[in-house]
Amino acid sequence: MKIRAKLSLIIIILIAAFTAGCTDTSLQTAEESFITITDDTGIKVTIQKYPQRIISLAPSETEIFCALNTGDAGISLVGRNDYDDYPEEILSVPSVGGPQTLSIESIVSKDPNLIIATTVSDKTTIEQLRNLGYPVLIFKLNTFEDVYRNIETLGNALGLEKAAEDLVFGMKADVFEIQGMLIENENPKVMYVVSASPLYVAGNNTLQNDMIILAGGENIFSDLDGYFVTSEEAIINREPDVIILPSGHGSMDVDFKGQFLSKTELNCVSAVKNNRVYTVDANVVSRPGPRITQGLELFYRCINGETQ
Amino acid sequence: MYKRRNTIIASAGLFVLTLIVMLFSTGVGESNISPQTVFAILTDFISGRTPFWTPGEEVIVMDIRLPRIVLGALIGTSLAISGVALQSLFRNPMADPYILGISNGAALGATIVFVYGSAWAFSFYTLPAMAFIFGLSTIFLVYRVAKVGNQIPVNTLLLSGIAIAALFSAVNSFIMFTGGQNLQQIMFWTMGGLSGRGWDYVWIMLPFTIAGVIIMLSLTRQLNAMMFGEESAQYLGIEVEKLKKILLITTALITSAAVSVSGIIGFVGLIIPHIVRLVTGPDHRILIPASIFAGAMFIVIADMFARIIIAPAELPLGVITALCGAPFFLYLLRSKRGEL
Repeated sequence: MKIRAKLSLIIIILIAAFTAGCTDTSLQTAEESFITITDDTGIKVTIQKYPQRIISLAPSETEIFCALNTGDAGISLVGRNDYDDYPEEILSVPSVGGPQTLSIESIVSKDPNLIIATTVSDKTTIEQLRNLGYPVLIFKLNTFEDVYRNIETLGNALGLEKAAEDLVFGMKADVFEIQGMLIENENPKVMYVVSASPLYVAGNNTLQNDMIILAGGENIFSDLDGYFVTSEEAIINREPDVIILPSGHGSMDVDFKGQFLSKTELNCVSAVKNNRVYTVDANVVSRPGPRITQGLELFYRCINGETQ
Repeated sequence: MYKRRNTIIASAGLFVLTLIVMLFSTGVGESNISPQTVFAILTDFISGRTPFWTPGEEVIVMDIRLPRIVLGALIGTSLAISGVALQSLFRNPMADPYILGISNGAALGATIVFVYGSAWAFSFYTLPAMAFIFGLSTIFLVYRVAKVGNQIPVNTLLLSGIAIAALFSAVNSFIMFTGGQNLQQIMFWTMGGLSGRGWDYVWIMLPFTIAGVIIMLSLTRQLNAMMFGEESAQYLGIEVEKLKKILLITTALITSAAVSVSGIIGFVGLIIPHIVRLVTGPDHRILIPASIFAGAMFIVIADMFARIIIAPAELPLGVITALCGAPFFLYLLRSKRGEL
């Protein structure tokens, strides 16, 4: 009797513990099937674990998405934006519009589980998507650190933490290698021109400012934040040794270097006198994605006179 | 009472003041250059003195600041006298050089160049040429629509101006939205500015301003007569319809030229005539000469602020003129109700 009672007690306890365990685990899976991620605008976004159908609203996000080996993980890009052009295979993905001409209907019709965008993307559309219950992650991309953080955050959201870690590690190694390379002169004065007319230049807190500094130069316009319109006299006054211009911005084929050099009043600037005005691929140096380290290498070559 | 001698003295005084403002503003900017250096650089070709300044300073003064200051003065003058002429023609204090849609027409021309320009042979003159042609065509269109027989009723002119301006601005938005390129350039052009304008632009503008000034100075009596209404002017022996045509053509030409080289600089043509009128009274014989110099000084000073407020970055000139102009105009509206 005693033994039977003990046994049944043990069985009851075991059953109780087992069922308790069961409810516990089922509760846990319910909790773990969602992940909360804070994006760069400080908004907490709840995402189903893990999203399989992604829409990218910016070329830089598309490049980061592809660099995370999402194809192998079975995660697909179901919508892209008009300006995407790299890597080439994503061109077969249907576009949902340009940065300011997004079509909310075509986004919704793709039935995405996650939408990735940047602070440049159209805010009204993003607000509407969020109201409709679609998770949208917004990334702010001004510096190299921002890009690393973007890659890691997206890795967390997609369950590809390892791939993200490897990608960032590889990029940091590239940066480290370039920083260790020979420097022609100590701190040459450099400027990056975004467009010749109006005369837009890159100031502090921009991707190109980071590239100039990491490549061993000094940005002559680092006293103001962001991109701004400046004047010819400011350029003459600040005497740049090296001037870097983009080529092939977007779909346009404007000869920025020709436009810039047609300003004859700039002939007295040492960069122009010494023929040290260079053009670099606009998409590589201005798109805050995995290719910024290639951009940095282009900057290194311009600044240290190793181009052609 | 009007005295010819007083006008000449006042004009000479304003002329000297304008020159001083221009000279002072040549020294101010990202890098401050002392007035002595500026003066030495400016008189270098006469005095032939050995340079004690850097080549960079000479380029800044001679090729960058001086042309934009001279251009600013020409544009200020052009917009101010156009404003005087149109306010008198419409007998409406709200009239400004853009009232008949020149700015919308010119903006459309500029947008076409910015959006489709790279597909065409793009030369330096394409942008001003297109802005000029579109600005002038707008006025011509407005004029044709408003014309009844051999007369141009002022109200019809105003209404057709508003309608055609709205139409052009819609086409403009359509091209900007569907073209999707160079939107920033278009935005900057629309806000107006003298940034990066060299001597080429001065030579484009100069003949228009000179012609405009001569024509307006020769029409002062007729403009005075128009103040009492078209009928009264007719009784005073003025050929009103002919005068209207001359005023329209002159203002259309000089405003289109101004817009084509500097974009749309708002408020100058509206407020300068009002400010000057408060000081000189409504007599066009003094109002026009005074407006010539006041307009020039206003733009030169506004452009100086555009250059220095957030240096090394530049503000669009149109922002400064509206920022100073609008509050002042509101003040006038409150304090002088019924007198404008």
